[in-house]
Amino acid sequence: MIKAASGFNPHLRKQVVRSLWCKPHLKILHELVKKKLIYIGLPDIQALDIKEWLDYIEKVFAFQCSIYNGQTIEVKILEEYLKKLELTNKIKSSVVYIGWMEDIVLGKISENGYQFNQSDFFKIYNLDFCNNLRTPREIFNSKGKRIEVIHKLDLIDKLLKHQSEQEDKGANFIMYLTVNANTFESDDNASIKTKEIRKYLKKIDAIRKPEVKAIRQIKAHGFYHIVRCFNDNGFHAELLPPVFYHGSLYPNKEKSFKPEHHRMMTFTILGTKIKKDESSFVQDAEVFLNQQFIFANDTSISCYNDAYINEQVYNADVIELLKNSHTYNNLWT
Amino acid sequence: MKLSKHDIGGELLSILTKGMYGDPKDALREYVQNGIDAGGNELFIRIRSTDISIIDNGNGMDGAKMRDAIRVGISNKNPKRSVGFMGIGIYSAFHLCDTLTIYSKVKNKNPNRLSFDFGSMRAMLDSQKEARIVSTRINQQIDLLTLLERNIEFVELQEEDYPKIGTRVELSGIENNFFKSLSKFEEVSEYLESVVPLPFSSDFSYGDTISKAIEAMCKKHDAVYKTISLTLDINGFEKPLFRPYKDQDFKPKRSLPPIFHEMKSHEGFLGLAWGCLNADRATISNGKVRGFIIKKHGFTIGERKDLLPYFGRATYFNRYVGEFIVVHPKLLPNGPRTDFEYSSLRTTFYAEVISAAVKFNNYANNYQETEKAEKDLSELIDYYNEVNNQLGFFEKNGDKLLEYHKNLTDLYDAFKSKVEKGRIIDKNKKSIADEILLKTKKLISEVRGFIDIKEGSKKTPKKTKEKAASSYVKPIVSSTSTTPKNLPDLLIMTGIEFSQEVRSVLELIDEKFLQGNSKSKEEYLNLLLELRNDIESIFES
Repeated sequence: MIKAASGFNPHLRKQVVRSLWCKPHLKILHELVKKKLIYIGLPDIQALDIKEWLDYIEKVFAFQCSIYNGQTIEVKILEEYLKKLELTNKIKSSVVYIGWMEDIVLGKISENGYQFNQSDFFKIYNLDFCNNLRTPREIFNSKGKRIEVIHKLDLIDKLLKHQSEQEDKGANFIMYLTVNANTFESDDNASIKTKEIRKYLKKIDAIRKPEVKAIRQIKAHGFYHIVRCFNDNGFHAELLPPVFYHGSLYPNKEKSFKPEHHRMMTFTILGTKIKKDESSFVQDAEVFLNQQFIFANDTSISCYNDAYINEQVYNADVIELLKNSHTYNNLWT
Repeated sequence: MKLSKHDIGGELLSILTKGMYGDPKDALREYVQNGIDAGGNELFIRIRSTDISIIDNGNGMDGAKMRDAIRVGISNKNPKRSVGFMGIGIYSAFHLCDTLTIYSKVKNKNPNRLSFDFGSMRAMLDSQKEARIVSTRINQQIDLLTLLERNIEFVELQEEDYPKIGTRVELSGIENNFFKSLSKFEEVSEYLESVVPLPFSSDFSYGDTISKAIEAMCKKHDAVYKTISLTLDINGFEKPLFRPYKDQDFKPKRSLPPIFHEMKSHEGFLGLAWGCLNADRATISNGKVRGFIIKKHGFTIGERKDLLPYFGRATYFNRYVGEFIVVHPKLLPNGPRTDFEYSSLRTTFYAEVISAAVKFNNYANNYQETEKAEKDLSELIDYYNEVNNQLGFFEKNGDKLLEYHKNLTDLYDAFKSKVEKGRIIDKNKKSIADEILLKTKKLISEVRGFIDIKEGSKKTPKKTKEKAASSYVKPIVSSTSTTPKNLPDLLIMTGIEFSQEVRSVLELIDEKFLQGNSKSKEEYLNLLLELRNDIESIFES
């Protein structure tokens, strides 16, 4: 099997997230806008997400590294697959940018000679990152001198900036943002200005198990930064409960290289362009933070909680969660 | 004489395509043209670093049609309906890519795929040339038939392999230099916008009017005129394309309404020309749309500058944006699309271009003269107002009276001649012109009267209190240096002397009572004049 560019082998839980969590959303969005959707993301060369969501996709903008962890990635597989989809009239068109998404979106020409120059309003963002929102990536110039350090958040900011410049009647979209939740790498609590979130962070500080605490820190920081980034670029943001799942196995250094599953978290953000003279929607942070995660196992999704944490239980019905959202009821319909 | 396949060398294909398609973008035009000829009205061009696709929603080709498409210099197309008729366009990408693959499907039949290995064909021809350079022995050279047979593949596909009715032409293995040129969106879109039959953009106000006029005239003569919807996608950046004309190309904001010229010949309707003149007397700033261009079935023939000699003067040509829409089936474009093939009909066509040019030039000339005449009307009104308002001041000033008389007479004569030549077209302006001419004539006699008095030949004429022309024509107030600026100025003009202190007081009175009670500058000046007359009356008594 060809190793996926993300560094993770495809696994059942991820597929469950794609099919049982994301797909129903896309069906609803597709029905709402009455046309197929434009996808941008990191589909990996196996393009499992695209395969799963094919009924709802019209165009694909894919980013793919040619080398990951010293290993050459057969980008051609992805290109040929997408080309086949075009020939068989499954999608209208596709483009594969070869290289790091951050670099290309921030202006660098891709290895195959393309400049990211958006003319569409993307409807599905599937940003499947293998690390954290605040993980830095160093950008070097042609002489090898470090010229910039960027984070995934900078990438999202730039993507939304591009998006805000596009015309779209409905101007709504869904962003899936998957991050590694093994550990919480930043302790920059001072950057959080929202009282409710600070209060929550203080509350969870008492949790002793680091992995239990980490997913909640990531949830809180993610919520704060994502909402701010959306609002700064002229979009309302509403987050559905984050999906937590166990990804592929990896040798955990801190536990004597004992094999462990990566802990992954997928944020689902409902984005809508803020109209002139409209204020941005303010989601209740307390409600969002104090409700349970969505958990994906090998076959289904449900509410998840660590046994000793007191969190709000709710009905983990994917469609209901979307259709009960403020965004769906007040901004999309 | 009996000939064999060896009498037609494979090199012919390379020579022909190199000569006919000098610009790699020409291949895009050729495949778009094929798509339209196949009944397509929605086309999509997708350009990527490794391949280019031209996809149409036409009727597609079945196996037999695909087989026919391979032929060189043989075409079944009807020149009345199709632009392509030479049977060579399919090879237009011969020097551009390594492989040309055509997928096509017609209704109720399975799709097919036809592939041309141009890379291999070129390699065969190149090695042959190399062999000729290094060896004096003349080898058997590859003939055209063998070259094609060895490098063309036809495959029958299943429905699911290519389910959409229509044709997809794929050029893969694009040479890197060609890709660089073809990856510039602006460059490629500009090219396509000027050569492909596209609709007008909504940014051009008269686009709809022109389209309707063309359609109506073509319908009347049972001629075919159609445009297509074309979307260009280069490396993911996608935009629908339109004809390149925009209101912003014109000054001040948009062009004058279009004018049309029907082109006829002894062999029937040739087509029609439309032109939009710049509203300002200035050249169209965008050089890419300036002047006229010929279109046959919407495809461009030659360049805009080619038509300039038929217009004679560049001045008017460059103030227009326009097209000569040719629909006559017997007027056939030459291979490189630079002109029509030589024929008697071509001669007739160019005679019609000259007729149209005369019409467009005359219209521009008349418009220019009209515009000039309207400007003169405005100047005459200004001068009339000035003299009418100030005559009282200067009725004893001989030099001034002579100056007024001369200027008024000159302006009157020049403008009268323009009115008589019909340069003032607008009805309202014409009535203003007639009225101002009448009043100016009266004013001239009045000035003459003052001059005569000054010369001692006549009695004082009674100053006619003429209603200022500005009250029924555009309100223009004279601001020449001879006009009293204010009350102190007026008193100085009447010969009253006063100190700086008194001047300050007078300025205050002027500001508070004269200016303060006047609704406009004009009213203020009239007030000053009345005051001056009253002061003079006091002195006279």
